[in-house]
Amino acid sequence: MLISIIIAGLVMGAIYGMVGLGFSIIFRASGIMNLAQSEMITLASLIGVTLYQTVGLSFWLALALTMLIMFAFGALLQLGIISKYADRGVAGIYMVLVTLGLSKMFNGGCELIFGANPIQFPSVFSVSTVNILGAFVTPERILSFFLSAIGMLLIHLFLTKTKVGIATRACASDAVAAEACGINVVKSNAVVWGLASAVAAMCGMMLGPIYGAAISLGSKVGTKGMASSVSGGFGNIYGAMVGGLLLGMVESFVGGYVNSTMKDMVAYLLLFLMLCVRPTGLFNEQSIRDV
Amino acid sequence: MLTKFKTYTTQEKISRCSILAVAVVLLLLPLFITNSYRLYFFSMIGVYIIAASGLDVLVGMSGQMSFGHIAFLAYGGYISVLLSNYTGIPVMLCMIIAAFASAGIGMLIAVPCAKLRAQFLVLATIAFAFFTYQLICNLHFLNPYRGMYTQHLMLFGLDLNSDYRYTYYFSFALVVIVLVLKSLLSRSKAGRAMMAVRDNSRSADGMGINVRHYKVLAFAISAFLCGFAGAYMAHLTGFIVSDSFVQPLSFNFVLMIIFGGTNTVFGPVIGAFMYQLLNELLASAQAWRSVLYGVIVLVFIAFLPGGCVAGLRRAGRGLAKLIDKNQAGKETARNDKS
Amino acid sequence: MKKLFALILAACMLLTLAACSGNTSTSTTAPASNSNSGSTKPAETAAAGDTNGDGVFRIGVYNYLSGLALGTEEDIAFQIALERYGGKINGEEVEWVIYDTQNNPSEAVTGVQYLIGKGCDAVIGSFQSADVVAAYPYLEDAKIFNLMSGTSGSIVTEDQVYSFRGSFNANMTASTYVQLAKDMGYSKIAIFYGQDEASVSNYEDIRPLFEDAGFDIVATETGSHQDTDYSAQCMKIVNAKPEIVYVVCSGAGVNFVKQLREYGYNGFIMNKDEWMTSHVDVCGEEFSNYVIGVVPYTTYKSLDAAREAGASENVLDFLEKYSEKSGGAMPTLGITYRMHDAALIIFEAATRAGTNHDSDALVAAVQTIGDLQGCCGTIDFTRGDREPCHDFTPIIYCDGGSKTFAKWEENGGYDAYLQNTGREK
Repeated sequence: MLISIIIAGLVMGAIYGMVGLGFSIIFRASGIMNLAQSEMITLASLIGVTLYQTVGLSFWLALALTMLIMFAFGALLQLGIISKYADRGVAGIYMVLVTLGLSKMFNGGCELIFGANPIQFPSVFSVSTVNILGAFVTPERILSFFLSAIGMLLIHLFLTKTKVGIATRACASDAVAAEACGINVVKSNAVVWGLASAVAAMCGMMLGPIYGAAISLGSKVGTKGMASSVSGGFGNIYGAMVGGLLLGMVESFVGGYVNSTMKDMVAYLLLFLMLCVRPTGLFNEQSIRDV
Repeated sequence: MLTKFKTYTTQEKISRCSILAVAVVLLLLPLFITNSYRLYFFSMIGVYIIAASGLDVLVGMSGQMSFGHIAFLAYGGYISVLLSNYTGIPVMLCMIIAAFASAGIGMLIAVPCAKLRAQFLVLATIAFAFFTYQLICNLHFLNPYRGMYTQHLMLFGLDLNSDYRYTYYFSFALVVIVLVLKSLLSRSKAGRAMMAVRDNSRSADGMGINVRHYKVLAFAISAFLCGFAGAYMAHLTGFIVSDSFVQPLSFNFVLMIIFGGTNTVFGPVIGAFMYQLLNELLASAQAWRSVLYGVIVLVFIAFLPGGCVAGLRRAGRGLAKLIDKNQAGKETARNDKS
Repeated sequence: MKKLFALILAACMLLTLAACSGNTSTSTTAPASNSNSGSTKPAETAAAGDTNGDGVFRIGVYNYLSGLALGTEEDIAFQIALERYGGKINGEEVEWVIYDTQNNPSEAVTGVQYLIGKGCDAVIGSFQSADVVAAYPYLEDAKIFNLMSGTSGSIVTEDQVYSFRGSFNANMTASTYVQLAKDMGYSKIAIFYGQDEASVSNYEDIRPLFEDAGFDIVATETGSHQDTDYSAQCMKIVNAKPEIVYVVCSGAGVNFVKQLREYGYNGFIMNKDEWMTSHVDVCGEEFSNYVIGVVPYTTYKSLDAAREAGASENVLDFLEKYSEKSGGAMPTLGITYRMHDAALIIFEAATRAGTNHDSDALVAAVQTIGDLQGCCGTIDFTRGDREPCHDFTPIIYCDGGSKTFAKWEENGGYDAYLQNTGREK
C-alpha cells in the first residue's frame, strides 16, 4: 500500500511539476505571473487532439506540431499584446490582470471553436495499464513523468548554456543593460513566452489522454501547478518539479491515510502556509518585500 | 447651502448635480417599476456594490490585490445563517456579527500575507479561497451540497423578503451608508495612510506610517464589507449552498472595480450595474460572456485604467469647459456693451 | 454636509420601512424542510395561479447551460415535443425564455425571479438538484406550474403544490440495482459516491437496501467530482477485492471510473447515471465496457447503434426526429431526453386543461396523465407521487455501444464477459 501511494504521488506530482514549469519560465524571464497558462494548456490539448484524431497524424508528430504552433502563438501573444502593455508601463498587479483577461478570452474562445463536449483522445499506447511494484500506472502517466524530467533538464540547459537562453536571463535581470549589450530584448521576450507555451503544449498533449480533451482541462491542474512552482521557489526551474513532486506526495498520503475528501483542503492549506511562512520557496527565490 | 454651491467649480457642479439626479431617479424607481424581477435585480446589485466596495478598499486604497474575496462572502454568509437558524438572535444582528467575524478572519490571514509581494499575495488569496471552499464542503453540518434555507430579513417586525420594494429600499439605504463610510475613510487619517502605502510603501515607512498595520486594517475592513455582503445575499436569496462560493467567482468582483474604477466611491456602483446587466443580456451565451469579460479587462487596463469614473470625469471636465467658454463669451459680450 | 444629508436620508428610509410594517398581506407557503420560505410578492398581484393572458404560451427554462452543449440540444428537443401537438398549444404560439444558471444556485434564484417577472405560464427547472432546491419555493409562492429536471430523491417534497418532476427519480432505480446485483449472484460490493447533493442522497438511500439484501459492503469510498486523482480510493477498493462496484457521482464519475479501470478492476460497474457518449470519449472504449446503468435512456453514437442496442420505440422515434432536425447529429447528453419529456408533459397538461394560463388547471390536468409516451417510457402521474417514470430497465455499455441488459445477456454476453475479463463470476 505504501509503495502504491508513493508511486501514485510521484506520478501525479510529475504532472503538477510539468504544469508549474510553464509558470516558472515566464516568471523567471518576465516577472509576470501568467494566469493564462492553464488556458494555454487547454488550447494546446484541443489543437493536439484535432491534429491527432481528426487529421490523423501520429501522436509524436501531432505533439511536435502542436508545440510548434503553441510556440508561435505564445511568441505572437508576447509581441502583440503583452509587450504593448509593458510599454505602456502596466506592471505588477495590472499585468496579472491582463493575463487574467486573456485566460477568460481563451476559455470562451475554446468553447466557441471546439464546443463544450470533451473530445475523445485515442489511446497512445497499446497497453492500457502497467504494474509497477503493485501500483497500477498508465503508460501516459509514466511518459509524463519522463517528459517533465527531460523537459526540465532541457530548459535548464537552454537557459544556462545557449546564447539565446542566457540572453533571456539577461533581459530578465535588467532589460536596459541587456539592450545596451546588444541583446535583442524584443526577440528574447518572445522566445520566453513561446517556450512557456510549448511547455503548455506538452502538458496539454500529456493531460489530454489522461483526463480527456475538454475546456475544463486546464483549470483542473492549473492552480495546483502554480502551487507547485511557488512551493519550489517561483522562477526556479528545478523548483517547479520538486514542488510538484512534493505536492503530489502530500496529496497521495493524505488521500491514502487520512481521508480522500480532505486531500484538496490540505493541499491548499499547505500552499497558503507555505506562502505565509516561506514564500521564497524551497529553493529560496525572492518574493517578499522588506516592509 | 446654496451659497456654498455657487462657489463650486463648474465641473464640481456638474458632478454633484448628476449624482443627485441619479439618486432621485433611483429613489423614485419603484413607483414606476412593478415587475418584481426588476426590483429583485436591483436588490441583488446592492449586494454586489457592497462586496465590490469592500474589494476596492483593499485594491484601490491600500494597493493589495486579492483574487479570493469570495471566501469572505462565504464566511459572512455561513456564520450569519448558522447564527440566525440556531439561535434566537435577530437576523440583522446576525449579519453584523457575521461581518465582524469575517473581519476577524481577514485580519488573521492578513497578518502573514500583508508582507507578500503583489503576485504572491494574489496566489495566497487564491489558495485561501480554494481552501475555504474545500473547508465548507467538508463540514457536513453546513449541508454544503444540499444547501440550507435561510431566515428572512426582519426589520422592526417587517418581513423584507415579502415585497421586493422593501429590499430595494433596504439595499439602497445600505449602499448609501457603505458609500458614505468609504468616502469618510478615504478622507480620514487611516485612508490617507493606506493610500500612501499603496503609492510607495518604502517612503510611507520612512514617514513613520506603520505599513503593516494599515495593510492589515485594509484587509479587515474589506473582509467586513464582503462578509456583510455575503450575509445579506444569503438572506436575500433565501438559500445558501457551497457552489455559490467557488474561487473563480472572485474574478467577477475584480471585473467590477476595473470597469467602474478603483479608489472611487461610485466605481463599484457602476461596475456592479454593468456586471448584472451583462449577465442578463448574455443570459444564455456563457462562452461569449467569458470572451467579453476578458476583452473588457484588456481594453480598460490599456485605455481607461481609471475605469468608467475616470471616463465620466473627463467627460464632465469637457462639458465644464464648454459651459465656461459659453459663460465667458456672454461675459465679454456684456462687457463690450457696457 | 452632503454626507450628513445622505446619512439622514438613509436613516429616514429605514424608519419609513419600519413604519410601513403590516401594510401588505404576505402569502407564505413553508417548505417542509424549513419554517421560513422565500415568498415573493410581485408588486402587481396576479390572481392566484393566473398568469398573463397575452396570447402566447410562455415557458421559462432555467438550466445550467454554460460549458455544456445543452443549449442547442434542448432547443431541438423542445421543437420535437412541440411538433407532436401541431406547433401550437390551445391555439397559442409557444415562446421560450431561457436562463443560464451557470452552475450557481444563487443565479438559479435570480433566473427564477427573471422568469416570474417575464410572466411565464410554466417553468422547466434545472437538472442540477441544488438549483431546483434553491429556486422552487419561489415558483411555489408565485403559483407557477413547474417541472423539475433533477434526479435527486430529495427535490420532490410533501409541501409542493405546483412542482412536479419532469425527469425520473434516481432513488426509484435503487432497488433495481440491488436486485440486478443479487440476480447475478454477487454478494461483495464496493461503493463509491461523489460529494454532491444528488450523489449523497442516492448513497444514503441505496446503502441500507444493499445491507438489507445481505450484501457485504467491502469498501466505501468518496471523492469530489472535481477531483483529478482518485488513486487512494481506487487502491483501497481494488485491495478489498469486490465482486461488483457501485458508482454514484456527478458526471457519472468519469475520471473515477477511468482510474478504477486503470487500477486493474475489470468487473461490472453499476453507475447511477447513464453512460453517455461523452463519457466514452473520456474513458475510452475499453474502460467503458461493462458499465451498467438502470436509466430510462442513454445516448448513442448513431441511429443504427441505437437500433442495435435495443433502444425503446419512443427513444428511437425521438432520435430519428432529432437526427432530421440536426442534420444527422445525435444528442450527446441524457439531459436532452429529460427536456423533451418535460416539454411534452407541459403541452399535454395544457391541452387537457384547455387553457395555457391557469396554473391550478394545469396542476389538476397533469395528475390525470396516465399513459403519455415519452423518452423515459410511459409517463404516468396518476399514482399521486408527482413522478412521471416508474419503470426502468438496466442498460449495459459494451463493445462500442449501449445495449439493454436483457438483450445482451440473451446474446451470450455474460459468457463473453467471463472470457474477456478472466473473472470467476
